[in-house]
Amino acid sequence: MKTDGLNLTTEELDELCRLYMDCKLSVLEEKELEYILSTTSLTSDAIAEVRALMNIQLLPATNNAVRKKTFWNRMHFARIAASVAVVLAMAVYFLMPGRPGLSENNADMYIAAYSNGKRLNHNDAVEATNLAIAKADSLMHYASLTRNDFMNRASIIISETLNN
Amino acid sequence: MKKILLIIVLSFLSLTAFAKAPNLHVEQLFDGSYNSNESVSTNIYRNQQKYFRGFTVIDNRTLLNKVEQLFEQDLTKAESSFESISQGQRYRSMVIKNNGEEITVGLNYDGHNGCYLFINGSVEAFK
Repeated sequence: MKTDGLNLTTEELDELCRLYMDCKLSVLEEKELEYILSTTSLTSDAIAEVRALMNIQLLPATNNAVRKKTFWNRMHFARIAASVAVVLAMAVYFLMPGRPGLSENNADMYIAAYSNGKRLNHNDAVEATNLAIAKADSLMHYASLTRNDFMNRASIIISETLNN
Repeated sequence: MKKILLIIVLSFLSLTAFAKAPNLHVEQLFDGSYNSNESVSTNIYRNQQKYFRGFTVIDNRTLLNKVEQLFEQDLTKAESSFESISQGQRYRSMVIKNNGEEITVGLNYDGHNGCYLFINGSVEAFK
Protein backbone atom coordinates (compact mmCIF):
# COMPACT_ATOMS: atom_id res chain seq x y z
CA MET A 1 0.00 0.00 0.00
CA LYS A 2 1.41 3.37 -1.04
CA THR A 3 1.75 5.98 1.71
CA ASP A 4 3.25 9.43 1.82
CA GLY A 5 5.59 10.97 4.38
CA LEU A 6 2.66 11.58 6.75
CA ASN A 7 1.66 7.90 6.53
CA LEU A 8 -1.53 8.63 4.57
CA THR A 9 -2.52 6.06 2.02
CA THR A 10 -3.65 7.00 -1.47
CA GLU A 11 -7.19 6.02 -0.51
CA GLU A 12 -7.17 8.20 2.60
CA LEU A 13 -5.79 11.15 0.68
CA ASP A 14 -8.29 10.47 -2.08
CA GLU A 15 -11.07 10.57 0.49
CA LEU A 16 -9.75 13.87 1.90
CA CYS A 17 -9.73 15.31 -1.61
CA ARG A 18 -13.36 14.24 -2.17
CA LEU A 19 -14.32 15.87 1.14
CA TYR A 20 -12.52 19.04 -0.05
CA MET A 21 -14.43 19.04 -3.33
CA ASP A 22 -17.69 18.54 -1.38
CA CYS A 23 -16.66 21.57 0.76
CA LYS A 24 -16.75 19.46 3.90
CA LEU A 25 -13.32 20.52 5.21
CA SER A 26 -12.65 23.40 7.55
CA VAL A 27 -10.25 26.17 6.50
CA LEU A 28 -7.57 24.69 8.72
CA GLU A 29 -8.13 21.22 7.26
CA GLU A 30 -7.94 22.66 3.75
CA LYS A 31 -4.58 24.25 4.59
CA GLU A 32 -3.31 20.95 5.93
CA LEU A 33 -4.51 19.18 2.79
CA GLU A 34 -2.81 21.81 0.66
CA TYR A 35 0.44 21.21 2.54
CA ILE A 36 0.10 17.43 2.19
CA LEU A 37 -0.62 17.67 -1.53
CA SER A 38 2.36 19.95 -2.06
CA THR A 39 4.72 17.49 -0.43
CA THR A 40 3.38 14.03 -1.30
CA SER A 41 4.03 12.18 -4.50
CA LEU A 42 0.83 10.11 -4.17
CA THR A 43 -1.67 10.67 -6.95
CA SER A 44 -5.07 9.73 -8.21
CA ASP A 45 -7.74 11.47 -10.31
CA ALA A 46 -9.22 13.21 -7.25
CA ILE A 47 -5.82 14.17 -5.87
CA ALA A 48 -4.77 15.54 -9.28
CA GLU A 49 -7.99 17.48 -9.57
CA VAL A 50 -7.61 19.06 -6.10
CA ARG A 51 -3.99 19.86 -6.83
CA ALA A 52 -5.13 21.65 -9.97
CA LEU A 53 -7.83 23.51 -8.05
CA MET A 54 -5.37 24.57 -5.38
CA ASN A 55 -2.84 25.43 -8.08
CA ILE A 56 -0.26 23.20 -6.38
CA GLN A 57 2.79 22.30 -8.36
CA LEU A 58 5.07 19.49 -7.27
CA LEU A 59 7.77 20.66 -9.59
CA PRO A 60 9.95 22.50 -7.07
CA ALA A 61 10.10 19.51 -4.73
CA THR A 62 10.62 17.09 -7.60
CA ASN A 63 13.32 19.28 -9.11
CA ASN A 64 15.02 19.49 -5.77
CA ALA A 65 15.09 15.73 -5.46
CA VAL A 66 16.33 15.36 -9.00
CA ARG A 67 18.95 18.05 -8.42
CA LYS A 68 20.04 16.35 -5.21
CA LYS A 69 20.22 13.00 -6.90
CA THR A 70 22.12 14.46 -9.84
CA PHE A 71 24.49 16.21 -7.46
CA TRP A 72 25.19 13.00 -5.55
CA ASN A 73 25.47 11.09 -8.79
CA ARG A 74 28.02 13.63 -9.95
CA MET A 75 29.90 13.47 -6.65
CA HIS A 76 29.86 9.69 -6.77
CA PHE A 77 31.10 9.74 -10.34
CA ALA A 78 33.79 12.29 -9.43
CA ARG A 79 34.98 10.10 -6.56
CA ILE A 80 35.15 7.03 -8.77
CA ALA A 81 36.92 9.03 -11.49
CA ALA A 82 39.44 10.41 -8.97
CA SER A 83 40.10 6.93 -7.57
CA VAL A 84 40.53 5.44 -11.02
CA ALA A 85 42.89 8.32 -11.90
CA VAL A 86 45.00 7.61 -8.80
CA VAL A 87 45.19 3.90 -9.60
CA LEU A 88 46.02 4.64 -13.24
CA ALA A 89 48.71 7.15 -12.24
CA MET A 90 50.29 4.55 -9.97
CA ALA A 91 50.08 1.91 -12.69
CA VAL A 92 51.63 4.29 -15.24
CA TYR A 93 54.43 5.14 -12.80
CA PHE A 94 55.23 1.52 -12.05
CA LEU A 95 54.92 0.39 -15.67
CA MET A 96 56.35 3.49 -17.36
CA PRO A 97 58.64 2.49 -20.24
CA GLY A 98 61.32 5.00 -19.24
CA ARG A 99 61.43 3.86 -15.65
CA PRO A 100 64.87 2.43 -14.91
CA GLY A 101 64.95 -1.31 -14.51
CA LEU A 102 61.43 -1.96 -15.76
CA SER A 103 62.38 -4.29 -18.56
CA GLU A 104 64.73 -5.99 -16.14
CA ASN A 105 62.05 -6.52 -13.53
CA ASN A 106 59.64 -8.03 -16.00
CA ALA A 107 62.06 -10.42 -17.63
CA ASP A 108 63.37 -13.74 -16.31
CA MET A 109 66.74 -12.71 -17.62
CA TYR A 110 67.93 -9.30 -18.73
CA ILE A 111 71.25 -8.43 -20.25
CA ALA A 112 72.52 -5.17 -21.72
CA ALA A 113 75.93 -3.76 -22.41
CA TYR A 114 77.31 -0.48 -23.72
CA SER A 115 80.77 0.13 -25.03
CA ASN A 116 82.29 3.21 -26.70
CA GLY A 117 78.98 5.01 -26.32
CA LYS A 118 76.99 2.38 -28.19
CA ARG A 119 74.70 -0.41 -27.15
CA LEU A 120 76.06 -3.84 -28.03
CA ASN A 121 73.95 -6.40 -29.82
CA HIS A 122 72.73 -9.36 -27.78
CA ASN A 123 75.59 -11.74 -28.55
CA ASP A 124 78.28 -9.13 -27.90
CA ALA A 125 76.48 -8.03 -24.75
CA VAL A 126 76.42 -11.63 -23.48
CA GLU A 127 80.11 -12.04 -24.23
CA ALA A 128 81.11 -8.69 -22.65
CA THR A 129 78.95 -9.28 -19.59
CA ASN A 130 80.31 -12.80 -19.08
CA LEU A 131 83.82 -11.34 -19.13
CA ALA A 132 82.78 -8.61 -16.68
CA ILE A 133 81.22 -11.17 -14.33
CA ALA A 134 84.28 -13.40 -14.58
CA LYS A 135 86.53 -10.45 -13.73
CA ALA A 136 84.33 -9.56 -10.75
CA ASP A 137 84.36 -13.20 -9.57
CA SER A 138 88.13 -13.29 -9.91
CA LEU A 139 88.51 -10.06 -7.89
CA MET A 140 86.14 -11.33 -5.18
CA HIS A 141 88.08 -14.61 -5.06
CA TYR A 142 91.36 -12.69 -4.83
CA ALA A 143 89.95 -10.57 -1.96
CA SER A 144 88.75 -13.68 -0.17
CA LEU A 145 92.14 -15.44 -0.50
CA THR A 146 94.06 -12.32 0.51
CA ARG A 147 91.82 -11.77 3.52
CA ASN A 148 92.26 -15.39 4.62
CA ASP A 149 96.01 -15.11 4.07
CA PHE A 150 96.16 -11.96 6.20
CA MET A 151 94.08 -13.60 8.91
CA ASN A 152 96.34 -16.69 8.93
CA ARG A 153 99.46 -14.55 9.11
CA ALA A 154 97.95 -12.49 11.90
CA SER A 155 97.09 -15.69 13.81
CA ILE A 156 100.65 -16.98 13.38
CA ILE A 157 102.14 -13.68 14.53
CA ILE A 158 99.81 -13.57 17.56
CA SER A 159 100.56 -17.19 18.53
CA GLU A 160 104.33 -16.68 18.09
CA THR A 161 104.18 -13.52 20.19
CA LEU A 162 102.27 -15.38 22.91
CA ASN A 163 104.74 -18.31 22.85
CA ASN A 164 107.71 -15.98 23.22
CA MET B 1 34.74 0.51 -4.59
CA LYS B 2 36.41 2.52 -1.81
CA LYS B 3 37.41 -0.66 -0.02
CA ILE B 4 39.00 -2.11 -3.14
CA LEU B 5 40.94 1.09 -3.77
CA LEU B 6 42.06 1.21 -0.16
CA ILE B 7 43.30 -2.37 -0.41
CA ILE B 8 45.21 -1.57 -3.62
CA VAL B 9 46.86 1.51 -2.08
CA LEU B 10 47.73 -0.36 1.13
CA SER B 11 49.19 -3.23 -0.90
CA PHE B 12 51.50 -0.81 -2.71
CA LEU B 13 52.52 0.79 0.58
CA SER B 14 53.15 -2.51 2.34
CA LEU B 15 55.18 -3.80 -0.59
CA THR B 16 57.42 -0.74 -0.47
CA ALA B 17 57.65 -0.94 3.32
CA PHE B 18 58.62 -4.62 3.55
CA ALA B 19 61.04 -4.82 0.62
CA LYS B 20 63.38 -1.89 0.96
CA ALA B 21 65.81 -1.30 -1.89
CA PRO B 22 69.41 -0.71 -0.82
CA ASN B 23 69.59 2.54 -2.84
CA LEU B 24 73.32 2.38 -3.39
CA HIS B 25 75.01 5.54 -4.58
CA VAL B 26 77.05 3.57 -7.11
CA GLU B 27 73.82 2.51 -8.81
CA GLN B 28 73.59 6.06 -10.17
CA LEU B 29 76.26 5.00 -12.66
CA PHE B 30 73.71 2.70 -14.27
CA ASP B 31 70.86 5.17 -14.72
CA GLY B 32 71.64 5.42 -18.45
CA SER B 33 73.40 8.78 -18.34
CA TYR B 34 76.81 7.19 -19.09
CA ASN B 35 75.62 4.86 -21.84
CA SER B 36 76.78 7.25 -24.56
CA ASN B 37 80.08 8.10 -22.87
CA GLU B 38 82.91 6.77 -24.99
CA SER B 39 85.27 6.21 -22.09
CA VAL B 40 82.79 3.96 -20.34
CA SER B 41 81.72 0.36 -20.77
CA THR B 42 78.62 -0.76 -18.91
CA ASN B 43 77.30 -4.25 -18.22
CA ILE B 44 73.89 -4.93 -16.82
CA TYR B 45 72.79 -8.44 -16.01
CA ARG B 46 69.96 -9.88 -14.05
CA ASN B 47 68.30 -13.26 -13.88
CA GLN B 48 66.01 -14.76 -11.26
CA GLN B 49 68.86 -15.20 -8.79
CA LYS B 50 71.70 -12.92 -9.76
CA TYR B 51 72.00 -9.14 -9.98
CA PHE B 52 75.13 -7.77 -11.58
CA ARG B 53 76.39 -4.39 -12.74
CA GLY B 54 79.77 -3.67 -14.28
CA PHE B 55 81.19 -0.21 -15.00
CA THR B 56 84.57 0.23 -16.67
CA VAL B 57 86.21 3.63 -17.02
CA ILE B 58 89.08 4.06 -19.44
CA ASP B 59 91.41 7.05 -19.07
CA ASN B 60 88.96 9.55 -17.63
CA ARG B 61 90.16 11.18 -14.43
CA THR B 62 86.93 13.13 -13.84
CA LEU B 63 84.79 10.04 -14.11
CA LEU B 64 87.21 8.03 -11.98
CA ASN B 65 86.84 10.66 -9.25
CA LYS B 66 83.06 10.46 -9.54
CA VAL B 67 83.11 6.65 -9.23
CA GLU B 68 85.43 6.91 -6.24
CA GLN B 69 83.20 9.50 -4.61
CA LEU B 70 80.09 7.31 -4.99
CA PHE B 71 82.01 4.29 -3.68
CA GLU B 72 83.10 6.28 -0.61
CA GLN B 73 79.51 7.32 0.04
CA ASP B 74 78.39 3.70 0.07
CA LEU B 75 81.24 2.70 2.39
CA THR B 76 79.26 4.20 5.26
CA LYS B 77 76.62 1.47 4.76
CA ALA B 78 79.16 -1.35 4.47
CA GLU B 79 79.20 -4.18 6.93
CA SER B 80 82.80 -4.97 6.00
CA SER B 81 85.35 -3.55 3.62
CA PHE B 82 88.63 -4.64 2.11
CA GLU B 83 91.53 -2.84 0.48
CA SER B 84 94.63 -4.25 -1.09
CA ILE B 85 97.51 -2.76 -3.03
CA SER B 86 99.70 -5.37 -4.57
CA GLN B 87 102.11 -5.16 -7.51
CA GLY B 88 100.77 -1.73 -8.45
CA GLN B 89 97.19 -2.95 -8.45
CA ARG B 90 94.73 -1.40 -6.05
CA TYR B 91 91.51 -3.16 -5.22
CA ARG B 92 88.82 -2.09 -2.80
CA SER B 93 85.60 -3.86 -1.96
CA MET B 94 82.78 -3.75 0.53
CA VAL B 95 79.92 -5.96 1.58
CA ILE B 96 76.55 -4.37 2.24
CA LYS B 97 73.68 -6.38 3.70
CA ASN B 98 70.11 -5.79 2.61
CA ASN B 99 67.04 -7.98 3.15
CA GLY B 100 69.37 -10.49 4.83
CA GLU B 101 71.40 -10.89 1.62
CA GLU B 102 74.91 -9.71 0.77
CA ILE B 103 75.82 -7.21 -1.92
CA THR B 104 79.46 -6.92 -2.94
CA VAL B 105 80.70 -3.70 -4.48
CA GLY B 106 84.24 -3.89 -5.87
CA LEU B 107 86.48 -1.19 -7.30
CA ASN B 108 89.65 -2.07 -9.14
CA TYR B 109 91.99 0.70 -10.32
CA ASP B 110 93.88 0.20 -13.57
CA GLY B 111 96.57 2.78 -12.84
CA HIS B 112 95.82 4.87 -15.95
CA ASN B 113 92.95 7.03 -14.75
CA GLY B 114 90.63 4.12 -15.21
CA CYS B 115 88.84 1.63 -13.04
CA TYR B 116 86.44 -1.27 -12.98
CA LEU B 117 83.52 -1.10 -10.59
CA PHE B 118 81.03 -3.89 -10.10
CA ILE B 119 77.98 -4.58 -8.00
CA ASN B 120 77.17 -8.21 -7.38
CA GLY B 121 74.51 -9.88 -5.30
CA SER B 122 71.34 -11.89 -5.26
CA VAL B 123 68.19 -10.34 -6.67
CA GLU B 124 66.57 -10.53 -3.22
CA ALA B 125 69.18 -8.10 -1.89
CA PHE B 126 68.00 -5.39 -4.28
CA LYS B 127 64.26 -5.63 -3.64
